[in-house]
Amino acid sequence: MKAMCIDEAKCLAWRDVDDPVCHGDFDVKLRVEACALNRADLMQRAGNYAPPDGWPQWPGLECAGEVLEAPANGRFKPGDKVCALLGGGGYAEQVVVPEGMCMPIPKGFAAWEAAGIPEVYATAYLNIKLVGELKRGETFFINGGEGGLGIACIQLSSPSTCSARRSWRRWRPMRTASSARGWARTLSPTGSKTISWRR
Amino acid sequence: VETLKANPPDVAIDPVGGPLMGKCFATMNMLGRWISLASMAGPETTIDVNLLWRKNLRLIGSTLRRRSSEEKARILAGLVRDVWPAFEARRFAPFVHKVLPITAAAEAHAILERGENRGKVVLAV
Repeated sequence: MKAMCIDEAKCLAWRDVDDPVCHGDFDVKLRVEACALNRADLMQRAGNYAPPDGWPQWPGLECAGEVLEAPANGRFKPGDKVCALLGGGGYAEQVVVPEGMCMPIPKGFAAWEAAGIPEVYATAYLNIKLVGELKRGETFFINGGEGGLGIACIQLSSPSTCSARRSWRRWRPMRTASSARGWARTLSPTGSKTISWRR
Repeated sequence: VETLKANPPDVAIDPVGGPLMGKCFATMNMLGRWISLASMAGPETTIDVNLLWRKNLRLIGSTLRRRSSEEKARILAGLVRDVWPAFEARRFAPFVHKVLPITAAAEAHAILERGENRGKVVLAV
């Protein structure tokens, strides 16, 4: 298969590499249809970020595609469409990943839409819900609301994902305030309030 | 900072850090949780430590990448359970800035380097 390797001159090169092989009992092999960029990819290319052990040397922290091989009694079967969080190796035609790091592509989504879901939405979900324990009626602040993570945080801090589901329909931007520094906005009349900040 | 003073946050997520972080941190509500993810604007800031106990604040560091595969699997299972219904009902969608072929990966990297993107840059394989 081919993969986008980082060459000696720190340039990206589309090269022939060995096909990846499933090792663990819970590994699945994917045919990558799309992968998404993250800031760590740039750091890796500059030599400031090494992929963790057991992952390919080429970059790519998330992808979407089709299952080629899967364990017999696993959650996925060949032909399923999934998106996955990776330790690396998404910039390639194929990748092997533990099944727990794969998610079904949401119904109606294309691979190019789903490829960018895992990193930002898992980060937003982890920190808003599990670490921050944002509750209904609380005010939420995201510093740097214009990036992929900021947008996901604004979406997930809305009422349905931190408490009652029914309030989604009533969710709408409440107020947009401009300032010399950029913009800040306050969302959500019924549940938590989100303030985002553009640097 | 003025907007924050008028709306003291209970939970803050901060991938930016830098000198402004300390000023924003000072506006937190009682029992607030400040979650630091990265320091794109620099690793140093000034925080009045007295605020931590006066307001019962928590200053938390958090990263997804350095968690175990088991922990990541639990996080992703929760994500599918809680967020997938909203995706599938098209209540919101991931924000894709641009899709380029994988062979144009260098050009895609340049978009991130220049900070042009609002949302994700995707490579089609």
